[in-house]
Amino acid sequence: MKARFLAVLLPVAVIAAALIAWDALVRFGHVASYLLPKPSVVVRQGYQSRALLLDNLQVTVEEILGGLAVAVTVGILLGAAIAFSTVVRRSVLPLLIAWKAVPTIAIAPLIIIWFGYSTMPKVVITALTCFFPVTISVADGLRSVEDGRTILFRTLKANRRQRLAKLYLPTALPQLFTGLKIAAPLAIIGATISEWTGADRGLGYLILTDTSTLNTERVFAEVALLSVAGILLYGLILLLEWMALPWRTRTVRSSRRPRPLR
Amino acid sequence: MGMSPSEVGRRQPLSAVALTHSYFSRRSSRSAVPTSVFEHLSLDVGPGEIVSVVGPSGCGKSTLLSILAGILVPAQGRVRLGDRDITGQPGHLGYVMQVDQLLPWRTALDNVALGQEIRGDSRRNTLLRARALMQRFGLGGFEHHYPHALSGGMRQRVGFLRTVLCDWQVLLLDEPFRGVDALTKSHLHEWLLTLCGEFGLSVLLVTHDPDEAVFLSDRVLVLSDRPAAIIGEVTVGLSRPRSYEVIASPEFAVLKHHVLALLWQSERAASQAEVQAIRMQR
Repeated sequence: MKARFLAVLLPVAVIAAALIAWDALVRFGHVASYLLPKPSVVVRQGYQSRALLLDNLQVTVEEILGGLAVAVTVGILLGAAIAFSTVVRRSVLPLLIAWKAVPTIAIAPLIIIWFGYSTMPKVVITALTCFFPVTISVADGLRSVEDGRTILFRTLKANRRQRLAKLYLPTALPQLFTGLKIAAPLAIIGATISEWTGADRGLGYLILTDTSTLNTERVFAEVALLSVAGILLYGLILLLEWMALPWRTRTVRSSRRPRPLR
Repeated sequence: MGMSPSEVGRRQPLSAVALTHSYFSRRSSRSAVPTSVFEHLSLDVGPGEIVSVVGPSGCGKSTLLSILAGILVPAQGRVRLGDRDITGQPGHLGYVMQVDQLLPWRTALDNVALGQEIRGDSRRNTLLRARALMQRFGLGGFEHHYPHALSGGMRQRVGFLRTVLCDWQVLLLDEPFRGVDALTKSHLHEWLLTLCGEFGLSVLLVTHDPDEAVFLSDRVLVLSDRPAAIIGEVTVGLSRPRSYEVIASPEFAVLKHHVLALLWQSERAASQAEVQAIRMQR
């Protein structure tokens, strides 16, 4: 009970303290509002521009979710190929690592050149930013199947499909979620950057234009909105994880209904 | 679910004929000197019989079980189940390993049902059998628990029941009670004897514990160090079903002493061979 109370209270207290310190800094340090607006001003500004902000948030969220979906699909397929094929592992993995060393922002303009100004290139840039952790975690997860369990499935004469469905996928699932948790914040970075290279909508685009007009108050509101989106996305992944991995958090399977075995 | 007497009669013996196996240690792959694990090793397990294999650690007991289970193909020799040659073919014998190998994402019930499910039996029938088996063998009420919520002894029981549900006639047990505390172990031993008695199972048990070997077995085979050979056999005349009180009896002490004496002998032979080898090098 006490632990749960602290789990809620502590983050709230820390955020409140940070806001108060911020407010005090601006109030008593006489910082100009175009450099650092007070939190209350940011909230007011955000509320006033809510229609604009929410419209653009929707654009960015679509890019984030689209990019993540592509990254997860590509990551699972590529990760499986890396895990199961020595040829792919030897040939593609070094390439991937080299690719990871190239900052997305360096190639984002190229992708705009290739694919134009629609939503698609933004999804591509987002996916490129965040598919790496998903790929690696899936590959590692699939390769972490214990020898004893492989032997068990051999003595049970399981075929390929059964081994995949009943042994490899459940083994890799926890690591897939670990990869997703790393990928989610990266997707938000990717989507924001994609809007910096060529866009007329989205929170990233708004941040850029509001910065150029020194509308610092609204820039803060936009940044805050992005981080709220990040928290929600992370929470969503935690929820999915909790639902998909019941054995991790529960001792007894709650549902008594017969359900298809994994 | 129980086995009718006629079915028990059909149970077939397991035999290993002249198994020879060696491996090439990776370090010496250039010179490729094979290390012989065993040469012309033969043994058999009769219908409903429980046979233990004891021997110094590292003498190749686990390798032997892997070959019998069909996971490993021997360099020479055959493995037979009744008239059938099953050398290098997994899926004919139950194989219970040191680590229980339960799947953590499945409940105890779904773990017990795994083998039948892979065979494609109807889910309803499989679950019905699995549930009845768990009730009968002391796991009632734990059907929906995940393995991490079960004690070590219970996990091991789930592993055994999974094997039993597959209707295998012969079980290979690779030190399944290693690392289990003494009290739990004694319960598991009695439990296993009941299980084997009820289903008329034939068992080949690998262990390093003479007490366990004598208590559980009809026969104990003692292996020498590498290359492993059977240097002695102790027939345990104690009647089954057995209760744990038997370990305090004089007969038990004599049998255990036989086994230990053979183990000491095997160890002495090994160290003498080593001394000789060092002398030869000089």
